[in-house]
Amino acid sequence: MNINERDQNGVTIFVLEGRVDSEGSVDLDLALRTAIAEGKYKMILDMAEVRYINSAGLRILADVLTQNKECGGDLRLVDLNPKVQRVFQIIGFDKFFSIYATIEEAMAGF
Amino acid sequence: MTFLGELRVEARHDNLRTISHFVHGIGHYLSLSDKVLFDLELAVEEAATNIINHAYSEASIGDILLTAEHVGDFVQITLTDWGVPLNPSNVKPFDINAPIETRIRGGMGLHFIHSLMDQVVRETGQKLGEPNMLKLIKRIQRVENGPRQPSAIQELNAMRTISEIMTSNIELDDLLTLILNKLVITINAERGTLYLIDEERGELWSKVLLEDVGPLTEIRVKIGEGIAGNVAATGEMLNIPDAYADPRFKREFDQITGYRTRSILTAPMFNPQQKIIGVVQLLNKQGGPFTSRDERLLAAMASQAAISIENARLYQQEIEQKLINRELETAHAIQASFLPDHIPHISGWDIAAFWHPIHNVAGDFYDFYRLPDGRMALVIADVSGKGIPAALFMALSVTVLRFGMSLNLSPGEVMYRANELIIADQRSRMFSTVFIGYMNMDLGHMKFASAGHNPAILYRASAHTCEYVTASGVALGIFKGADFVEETVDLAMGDILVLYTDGITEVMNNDEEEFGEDRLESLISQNADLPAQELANLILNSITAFAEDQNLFDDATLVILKRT
Repeated sequence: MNINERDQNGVTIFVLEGRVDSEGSVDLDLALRTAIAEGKYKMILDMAEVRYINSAGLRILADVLTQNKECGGDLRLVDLNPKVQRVFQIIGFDKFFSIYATIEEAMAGF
Repeated sequence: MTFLGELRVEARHDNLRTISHFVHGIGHYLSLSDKVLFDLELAVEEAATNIINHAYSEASIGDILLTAEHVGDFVQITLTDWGVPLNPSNVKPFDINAPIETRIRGGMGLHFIHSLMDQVVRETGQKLGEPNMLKLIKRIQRVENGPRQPSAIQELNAMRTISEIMTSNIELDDLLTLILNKLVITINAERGTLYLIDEERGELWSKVLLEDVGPLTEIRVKIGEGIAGNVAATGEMLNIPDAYADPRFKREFDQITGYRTRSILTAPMFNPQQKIIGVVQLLNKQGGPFTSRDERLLAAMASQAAISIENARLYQQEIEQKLINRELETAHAIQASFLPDHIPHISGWDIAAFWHPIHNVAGDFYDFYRLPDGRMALVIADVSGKGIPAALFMALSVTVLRFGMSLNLSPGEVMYRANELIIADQRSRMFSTVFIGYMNMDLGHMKFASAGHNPAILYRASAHTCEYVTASGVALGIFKGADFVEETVDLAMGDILVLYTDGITEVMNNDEEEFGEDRLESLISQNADLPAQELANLILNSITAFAEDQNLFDDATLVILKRT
C-alpha cells in the first residue's frame, strides 16, 4: 500500500492508500513503528483511500494507539470508508479511536 | 448447488493475496455488491489466517483448499485443511467490553467471521490428517442499483480469474499419485512411473514419478524406443524379469540416477475409446519377477487411471470451451457497442441498417456520424478476413475514421489520413474497403469517396432504375500515399441509397451461383415503395432463402437511406 507521511505542527499525518491486508499491514506496521522510534506519538491517519482492513491491520492500529497514549500522544483517524467503519464497529474499536471527518478537525484537539 | 471454482494453495501467509484474488474472482462472477464482497473477503482471509497460524506447524505445512459454490440466494466458500482442527471452545470468546489492549489478543478473526457471515458451519476430522472444513455462507446481494450487469470487461476479468484458478487445479495429480502409490505397495515394487503420450512430439513424458530420481524432474522417451516406448507403440503389456538382458532396455537412466533396474512391468493405458493415452511402469518387484497376478492388477489399475485422466481432460476442455464462448459473446457485445446505438431520425429521411456477423464478431461495420457542420457522415466498411482478427482491425479502422471525421476533413482526406495511419501502425497486412459519404440532409446532396468498396446502389424513383455510386480509390492498408477521388451525387424525393458489403451480394446457392448485384438491384426496384426497415428485412430474408442450405459464409451489413 501507499503511505505518505508529513509533519504538521508537531503532528505526523499519514495518508494511506490501498488495502490493509496481509501485505498492506506489514507496510503500515513499518511506517507507524518507524515514527514511534523517532519519538512521534501524535499521529493522524487519513483513511479516505483505505478500502479494506483485516484483523492484522486492526491489531497494529490498536497497538500503536495504546503505545501513543502511554507516551502522551494519540492515533486519530480521519474519513473512514463506510465498509471500514463497519469493521471498526463490529469489534467496538469505534469507541477507542477518535474518528474525525477532516484532518483539520483531528488537528484541532492536539 | 452450482460449483463456481476452487483453489488449492499451501498454507502460507504469502498465499493470502492469491486467496483474496480468488474471492474477488467469485465476487465479480456473481456480481456481488461491494459490501458483500468485502465481508466475504474479510471472513475468508481471517479463516485462512487461522489455518496458517494454528492448523499446521512450520515443520509440516499443508494445503488450504477453497471451494466456492452458489446455493440458491447464498454463496458458500468452504475452507478445507488437513491440520490440527480448531476447537472453538478453546478460543477465548471475543470480549467486546474488554480494554483495547486485551481485546486484540485473539479471537478477533473468529468474531469477524461470525459477525460478517450469515451462517458458519464447522466440520472437524475425527483424527489428525482428516479434513477439517469451515463453511462460510453469505446471502448474495447483487450490485446496487438493481440487477445491473457487470461491464463486459469486468466479466472477462472475472472469467479469467476463475479459469486460472481452475487450470491450477491439481486434483488429478493427487489422484494419479495415489493410484500409483497404491500399485507400488500392493504389487510390492520399488518404484513406479506414469507416462502420458505427448502426441505433438511423439514422446512419452513422466506425469508422475515416484521416489527420488536424482537430477531428473521429468523423463521423456520416444514412442517405440525403450520398454515404455514399446508398450506405448504396441499396446501390449511387457513383463521383463531381467532388464539388462533385454535389448530394448536403455541403461542411460540408470546411469544418470544411479539406480539399478532389475525387473520391469509395463502396461498400456487405454481410454474408453481404446486409444492409448500413456503407460504405467513398475520397477523391481521385491523377491523375484512380476507375476501374472501382478499383470492383471496393473492392467485393471491402468484403465482406472486412464478414465480419470480422460475425465479430467474432458472437464478441462469443457471449461475452456465455455470460457471461449463466453469471451466471444463478450467480444460481440464490445464490438456491437462500436456501432451506432440507434438509427438517426431525420425528417425527410427513412433510414435502416443491419449488421449480421457470421461468427460472434465481424469485420464489417457501419457508422452514422454527425459532422461538426451539421451534415451526416455515412460509413460502411468491410475488413479483410473474419472473426477475431477482423474484429480487432475493425476497431482500429473505426477509430481512425471517426477521428478524421471529427476534424471536419473531407471524405477523401479522411481516407487518405486513415490509410497513412493504418499503414504506419500495423504490420498484419490486413486491409479494409470503406465507403464514406457526407450527406446534406436538407438538400439530399452527398459528397463521397470510396476505398475499394462495392459500389453503392442508388434507386432513382423518377426513372424507376438503379445506378451505381462509386469513386476511384484503393482499399485502406495497402498502398502508402494512395489517393481517393471525391464525387458527388444528389438524391431526389423517393430515391433510395443502398450501401452494403459483399456478404450480401456474394452469397452462394447450391449451384454455386452468386446472389449478385443484379438480384439486389431488382429486389430494390420492385420494392421501392417499402419503408427502409422492411426493405432491409426483405433483402436479408431473400439472401437467406437464396443460399438454400448453404451457410452464409461472410459477414453481411446493409445501410438503406430513403429520401421521403
